[in-house]
Amino acid sequence: MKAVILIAGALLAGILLGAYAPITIPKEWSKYVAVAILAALDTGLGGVRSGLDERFDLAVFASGFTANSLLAAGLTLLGDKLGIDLYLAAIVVFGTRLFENLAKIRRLLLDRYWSA
Amino acid sequence: MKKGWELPVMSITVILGALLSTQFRSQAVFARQDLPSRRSEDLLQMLKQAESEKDALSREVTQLRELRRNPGQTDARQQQHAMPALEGPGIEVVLTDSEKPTGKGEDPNIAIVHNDDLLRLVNELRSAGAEAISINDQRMADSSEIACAGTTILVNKSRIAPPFTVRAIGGGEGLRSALGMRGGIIEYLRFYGIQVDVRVREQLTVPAYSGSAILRFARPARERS
Repeated sequence: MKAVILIAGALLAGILLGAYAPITIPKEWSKYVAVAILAALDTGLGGVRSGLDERFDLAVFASGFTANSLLAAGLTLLGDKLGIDLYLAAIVVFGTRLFENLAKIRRLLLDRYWSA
Repeated sequence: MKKGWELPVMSITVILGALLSTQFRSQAVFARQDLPSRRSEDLLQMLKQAESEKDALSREVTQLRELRRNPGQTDARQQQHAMPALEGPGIEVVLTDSEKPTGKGEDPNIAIVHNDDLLRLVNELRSAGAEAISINDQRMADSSEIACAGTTILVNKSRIAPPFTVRAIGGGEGLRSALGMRGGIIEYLRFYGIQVDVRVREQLTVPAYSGSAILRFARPARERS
């Protein structure tokens, strides 16, 4: 439970940081940021899941985040050049994985704090 | 490997939160920036409505002025602008912007009818003895301006747009030859590609002056005998 609170606190800190940082994202970049948000969300939930599963591996975590972000950004760029909304592919995949990871986390937490 | 999985995940979560709120703020800014485009359409609608209202009112003013003039109780101040609709023989000149595509390096400004062009035309007509002149149904009075107003031209405080129809009552052939003389106004305008259509008419009507007739500063001078 401590881990969940810590991570929620980190999210809040990040939100405050972004809210008060003097940065605005140019309109052309908002697609990339949207994909990056999904990649970060996916990685974060994946990390929580593997952490709760006691299978967390820093190398897998870091490389997964980097590779996923780069692929998603690359797809978005390619889509922009081709005039196809390829970034939707990344969004759909990340969205699906989001729900999968969330389901696993839910089960793990239930196993740990409810059934026991 | 259980040890220390929270820290990497927390760092990613901080990034996630920062991205989220920054994106959120930026999108709100875009939403505000998009607003004026929608509002400009509303303003255009309002402008159209106001203009049609204004037209109706100015027609009413002309009618009322006519009505008031007829009983015969005109004072000198009204006489100043008493310009009823007139008819007679004359000339009709239609000016249209050039349709030739502008070539490379050419100023597109030369292809459109400017207020100077209309001013010169009206002046030429007056010099040639025109007795009453109107541009797009705006009667030329002594106080009428022909001013540049962006993409339109302002006459009697009303916006007019091409094609410009100038009607002048007077000796039709005389007026036409005055405009068409070598080096004259028509040659000048056609040189710049402006389409000039001149027609001599047996009968044409120049509308009444519909602008303001109130003199705020000028008074009839006392006659010295």
